[in-house]
Amino acid sequence: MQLEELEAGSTALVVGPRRERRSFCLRHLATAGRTAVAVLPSDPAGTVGEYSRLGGKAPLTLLQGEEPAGEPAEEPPGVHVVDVTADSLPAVGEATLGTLEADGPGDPADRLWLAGLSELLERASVQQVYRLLYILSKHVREVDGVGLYALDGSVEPKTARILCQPLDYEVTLAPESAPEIRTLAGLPDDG
Amino acid sequence: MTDRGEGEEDPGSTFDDMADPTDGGPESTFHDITELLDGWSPDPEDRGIEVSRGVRDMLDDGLNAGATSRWDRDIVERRRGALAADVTVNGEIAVAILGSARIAAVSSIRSRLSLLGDRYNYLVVYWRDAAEDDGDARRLIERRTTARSLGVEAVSFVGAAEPAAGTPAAAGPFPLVGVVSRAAPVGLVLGVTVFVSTTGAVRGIDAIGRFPPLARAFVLASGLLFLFVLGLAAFLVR
Repeated sequence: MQLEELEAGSTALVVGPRRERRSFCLRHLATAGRTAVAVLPSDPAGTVGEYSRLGGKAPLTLLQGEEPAGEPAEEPPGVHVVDVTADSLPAVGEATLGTLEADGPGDPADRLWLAGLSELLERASVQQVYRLLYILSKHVREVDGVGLYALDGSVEPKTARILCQPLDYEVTLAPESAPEIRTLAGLPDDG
Repeated sequence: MTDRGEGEEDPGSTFDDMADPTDGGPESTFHDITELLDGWSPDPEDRGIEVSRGVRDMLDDGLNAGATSRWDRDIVERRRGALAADVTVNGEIAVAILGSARIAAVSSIRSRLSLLGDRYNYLVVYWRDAAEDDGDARRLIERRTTARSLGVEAVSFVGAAEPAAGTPAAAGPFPLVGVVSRAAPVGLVLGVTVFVSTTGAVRGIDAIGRFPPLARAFVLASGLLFLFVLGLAAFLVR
């Protein structure tokens, strides 16, 4: 499956080494038509630079846990920085949902990259993180966006399988290899 | 999928808040589910999908009765697919709804539970039906299905009581009293037959007594072998 085939209204768990995850998700983020959102990226400044280099035209919102030392005080043009309490999963969730709401102050974001999923898993239970993905994915679908949730490759396979359940795809990345994109089965039955 | 009435958000709570026993945590939610299912029974008319819908709705109501924030709500979903649980809670806790247990189905039931153990961290098995003769099969499954054998954090069995539970026939893994009561008519017939043939038996024993020692040992060994085979057959049938 090619990059373009992650269709609007879909969500994916992106598993692999940090560099490959970042590269894959930023390439998707740069295709935003309305707004792109990066949640808890490890290097906000580098994220902004790479987004521009990849041709990202839409406004970029950065949700960062804490202001990194040496970061310029003013926001670059087209970039909106929001500080969140990274230790609070509901706070991260609410701030992210704020960027996806159709009735918010601006257009809802159509590209979401949750970069710090592995860090959230270190501080919260699998069930809490599942709730976060479930709620975010529901909103991503409602606004026809694309949601990418990046997870370190060292996480237990069973944990990855559990977190995949509310999502549409699992993307496995490896150095020097094409992304392996798997459609997920076992979807919930609404009836 | 159930997603009814997301509550007001409470972004101020933290991970520590969420570890509070009132929020539950994985272990606590698992026990809540076990208790809720233990006190619930489906409509006798319901089958298949209707039962799993009933379980989903009941768990959603029971688990989320006191939820004040959408981040506190437990996500209760009905799933489809041969490899999935019937109902899941927060993606991690699986509820498997099983019909009555038959000896012939033990292997397939254990295979299914093993598959679920590969996909979830907690497993609750709900026995939907109970048939009169499924007691031994249920005990066999429950005895051999442990958290360790499935590779999960915890597993529990709840649901319809066995109809024969509490009666002497189902009091243990080997229902001796039941076997004896069922065998009584057969024993009576056999007894009369033996009585009638007593004369012949005495004559037979008398004849064996006149055998050489080697022949007597052969007859004795044959008898013991017969009893051993009979005992082995009884054990395997059990």
